[in-house]
Amino acid sequence: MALTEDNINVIGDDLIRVAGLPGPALRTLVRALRASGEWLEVVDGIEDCVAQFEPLRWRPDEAVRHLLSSKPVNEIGSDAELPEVCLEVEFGGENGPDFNSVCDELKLTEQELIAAICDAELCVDIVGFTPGFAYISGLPEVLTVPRLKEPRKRVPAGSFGIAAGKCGTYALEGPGGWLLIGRVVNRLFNPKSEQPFLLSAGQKVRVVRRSEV
Amino acid sequence: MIEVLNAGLQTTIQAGIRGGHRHFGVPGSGPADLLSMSLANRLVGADAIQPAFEMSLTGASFRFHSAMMVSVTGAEASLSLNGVEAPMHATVPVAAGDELEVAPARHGCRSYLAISGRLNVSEFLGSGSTYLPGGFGGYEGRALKAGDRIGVSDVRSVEKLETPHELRPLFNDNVLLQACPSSEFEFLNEDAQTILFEEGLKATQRSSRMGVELSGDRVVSCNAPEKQSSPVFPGSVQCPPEGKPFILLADAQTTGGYPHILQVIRSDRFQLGQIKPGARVRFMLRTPDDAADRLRARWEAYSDWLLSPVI
Repeated sequence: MALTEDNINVIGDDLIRVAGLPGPALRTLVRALRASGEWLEVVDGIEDCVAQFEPLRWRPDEAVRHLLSSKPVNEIGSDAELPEVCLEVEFGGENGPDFNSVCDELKLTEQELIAAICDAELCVDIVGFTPGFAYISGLPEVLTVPRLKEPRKRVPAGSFGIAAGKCGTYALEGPGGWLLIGRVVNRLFNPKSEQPFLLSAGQKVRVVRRSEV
Repeated sequence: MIEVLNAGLQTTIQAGIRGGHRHFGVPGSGPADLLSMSLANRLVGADAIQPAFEMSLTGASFRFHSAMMVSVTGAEASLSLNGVEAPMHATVPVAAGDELEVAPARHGCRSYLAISGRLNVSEFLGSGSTYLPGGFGGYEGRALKAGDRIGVSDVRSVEKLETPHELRPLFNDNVLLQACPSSEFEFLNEDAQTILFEEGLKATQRSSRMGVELSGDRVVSCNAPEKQSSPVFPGSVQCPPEGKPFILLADAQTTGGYPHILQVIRSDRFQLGQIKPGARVRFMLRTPDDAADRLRARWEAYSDWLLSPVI
């Protein structure tokens, strides 16, 4: 699918928004722009992306031309997907204070809830709002629970939550309103790594239950 | 070493923008008014983004435990060094034991204290800027409080300077922000546009390094269809359903679902950090091309004085 000017919207003197592309093409475009190193930021939205450029380097029309002519952009659609990430999750207990109440609310046994999550084909929609928080879609509809009425002031790093039909992972400690049902064993954030956050938008995810020790 | 005697309403250490991590939800942070911080650092012979103190509204006071050169810029406020008036926008030598007080802002909201040495800050993802909601960068990732002692290294002796008068930004409580239309601009009706561009709005008490809420006598209604979470940046103006638009600042979240109606142009973005609660804010519409011209003109004006383009 070709990217045209119709997909592009200049916002001010340092931002370009791209919308109206199918999901895989959008994610491929985002990765290509990021890999080019020419953009200050390339941020995923759920249905769009916004690239920020150095405004003294390019005028808005130059930035548009640059975006349209960047080589990999012309190949979008021929997708090279990110590898699937396997998240090992320890369900319930101290790390999943809402696990039992979620089972009760959904009228599922512990085993049924865990199986429903582990069987789902999940995908990271976006990482954002707060540092490293991944919105992961693909849960079966029966697992839909509302957020907490009053968000917790402190959710520990590594927490695995569900709310509004999605899963969410907290890479860093922070406030949060999702129902916490477990803890991700994988390291979601490593400040020393070149890729400090494990999950990125568009990535496929599978949850496996941490094997009992 | 510098000791905080009184941190006022909120004092943080800010440095460069934490760039390239917004797609992981990490905002850029850095000074709310990058121009003023650059000017402060210029007076102590430092890079624009050398770590400096950012104070808000009430000012703050400090005791220096060794001799160095310092400078204060930003919101208009009185300074006193050991009780004697000292100038803003000038390099001021301080001796061990000296105390500097920055009084509450008369106009504007944030002041910057730069020093002729390096503040010891904790770096996070390549920047020493404090990001309060995440608790990282700066000094222990938090706002400073009385009794904090910040280490200083590499103190240099520098030439005494003053910011040229024509380059000192003036802040008042009538803020005019030039902005370009953004994704949901077309859903603003005529009345909403009259409020934004003619009548103006007032900055409310809901004001922080993340954003400034604006409120008028009438609501600003934007009838955009509900949208999925989309990227936002400092300078983005969003309009939630209750009709009180808010402007995003340096620590703003990286994505949001509210209609994105305007984007403050780059050359006016430094002013966002100077909007104090109660200030009147009005927008003026520009095209992206206008915005690019204005940024170049601004940089032209500062390029003989500032060492690198940071505006």
